[in-house]
Amino acid sequence: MSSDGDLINPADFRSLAFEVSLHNDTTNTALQEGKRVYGKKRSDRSDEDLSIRVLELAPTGMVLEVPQSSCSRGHRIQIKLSTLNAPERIEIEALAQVEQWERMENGKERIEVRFLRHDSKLWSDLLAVFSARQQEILDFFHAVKGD
Amino acid sequence: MATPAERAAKTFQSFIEGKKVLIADPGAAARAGLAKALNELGVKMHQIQLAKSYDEASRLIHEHKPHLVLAEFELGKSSGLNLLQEQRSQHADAVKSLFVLVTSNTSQSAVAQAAEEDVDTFVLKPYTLEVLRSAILSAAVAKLQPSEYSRAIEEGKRLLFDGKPKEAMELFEKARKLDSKPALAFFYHGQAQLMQKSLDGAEGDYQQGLNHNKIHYKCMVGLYELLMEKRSFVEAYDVVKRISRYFPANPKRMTQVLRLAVMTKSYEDVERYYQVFTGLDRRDEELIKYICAALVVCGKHYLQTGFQSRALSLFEKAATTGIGRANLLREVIGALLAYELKKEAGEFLAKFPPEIRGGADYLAMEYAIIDADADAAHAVDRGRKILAKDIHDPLVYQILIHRSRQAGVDENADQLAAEAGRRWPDQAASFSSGSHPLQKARK
Repeated sequence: MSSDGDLINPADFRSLAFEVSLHNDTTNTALQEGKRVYGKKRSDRSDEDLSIRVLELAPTGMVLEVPQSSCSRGHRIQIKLSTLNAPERIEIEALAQVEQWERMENGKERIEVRFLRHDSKLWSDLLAVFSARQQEILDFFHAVKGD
Repeated sequence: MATPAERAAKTFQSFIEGKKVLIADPGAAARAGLAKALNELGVKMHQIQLAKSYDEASRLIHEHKPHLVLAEFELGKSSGLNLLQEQRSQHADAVKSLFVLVTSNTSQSAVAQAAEEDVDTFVLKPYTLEVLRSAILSAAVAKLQPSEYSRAIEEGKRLLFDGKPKEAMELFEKARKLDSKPALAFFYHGQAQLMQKSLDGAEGDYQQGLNHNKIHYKCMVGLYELLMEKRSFVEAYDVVKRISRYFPANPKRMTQVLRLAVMTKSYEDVERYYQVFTGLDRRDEELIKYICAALVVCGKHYLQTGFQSRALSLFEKAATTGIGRANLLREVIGALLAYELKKEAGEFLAKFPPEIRGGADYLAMEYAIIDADADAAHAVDRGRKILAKDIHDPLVYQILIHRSRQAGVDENADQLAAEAGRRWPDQAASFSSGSHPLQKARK
């Protein structure tokens, strides 16, 4: 809180984001640091958009946007997730199964994954961070609108 | 007996039945996810339009007039927030439409802009379905089943719009008793006071509103505008500083802050605002112009008060920010020459872009710098050569007239003064006086 008792310190508004890497146990391929990895071999291609985006968070899984041909329905993938700009950095590793798979018009794929093995406490902490930030922002938002 | 959540869901479903929805997001997966989430809330897939760019979204809004828009803040060349006005242009009664920002951009500027524009709600990405659902349903209920407080205010606003401020004030006074923090009611009561030309009454209302809610946007802006009208610039500056703390991204606000900082001689603040400016996502031409002007004014102040290195630092920032702007470089060079900082003036002359070095601005400033070290005869000769190239600039004439008199060529000086007076009648007196334009500044 700032010295004049304002609702929120504007300096707290930093976009939360994730660093994500993925290893497909079923196909033994991976997406790490913006590169594709086939077994032990790292591809040098730089013309592909290999970004992974977290779209939705769920109690026992999540929805991701992944590059094409990363995985398919039923595949088992290991996901490593780290928060960026959170009050405390949270790092999670989870084993998940691809429950839903859909190819998008831009060539990327939307996958829904369910955790098979993960640290449920850490995952709850992460959901709480996002939830708290959502609430903080909504509180500020409604305060300035005065509605 | 239905739970509040079930009632909210029913309210939303009644609202959205048969209506169009637009999802605007550059990410295909994001659009698909939001469509799926809306489908689970009872929206049929055929009601949903998808847009991946601002232009596409704008076209769909005009074509289909969606009552619900979910937009990402970052939509390429234009902010998704601008779609709100487009949607409102299709639905004159804002109560009948909903606008939801769904974005990963939670920067202060994005959130503040959303609040400023009166977006209905704001959802962060990545979201949980529960959060998304809750945000949309809450916004729908707030709009469609407003509280008694909100209803009184809306009714009062309608009376204000109809030009009935006295009747409107009664409603706002009633509203004030219906909420524990009725800042909005105070704001509109203040608006009604303004309509009746009661500036003090309005000021009191805005202040009372801010007592309830220190960051109430409308009260802050209302108070700022009123103080400007009363020409209470120091108080207005205090208010606009507060506004810009929470709403830094509005370029128009920044220009107001800068103007007041200079008017109230708050020069140290200008340097801080420059830091804010460098962090902005979007800067328009007017803001760039204002920040450069403010930096130059501050620089001149520091030259006057003996803080030369600080002045040079500010001039450097102005020149970098306003890159290629000849009038800016002229101001800086003129200020430096007035304090005999010829070497530094030459360094700023070198910042003129090559493509305009044949033009009047560059040649005039080059002449001024040469004049600073030249004798009268050389200065006159140089000045005449510029005029011979058909380059006409008031500063060239002023220097040439002054130096001609110094050289004892009064008749020539008189002719030049007459010609300059014809070209620039509003500056005729300065040409006739024959004083050196840059030496005057130092006094």
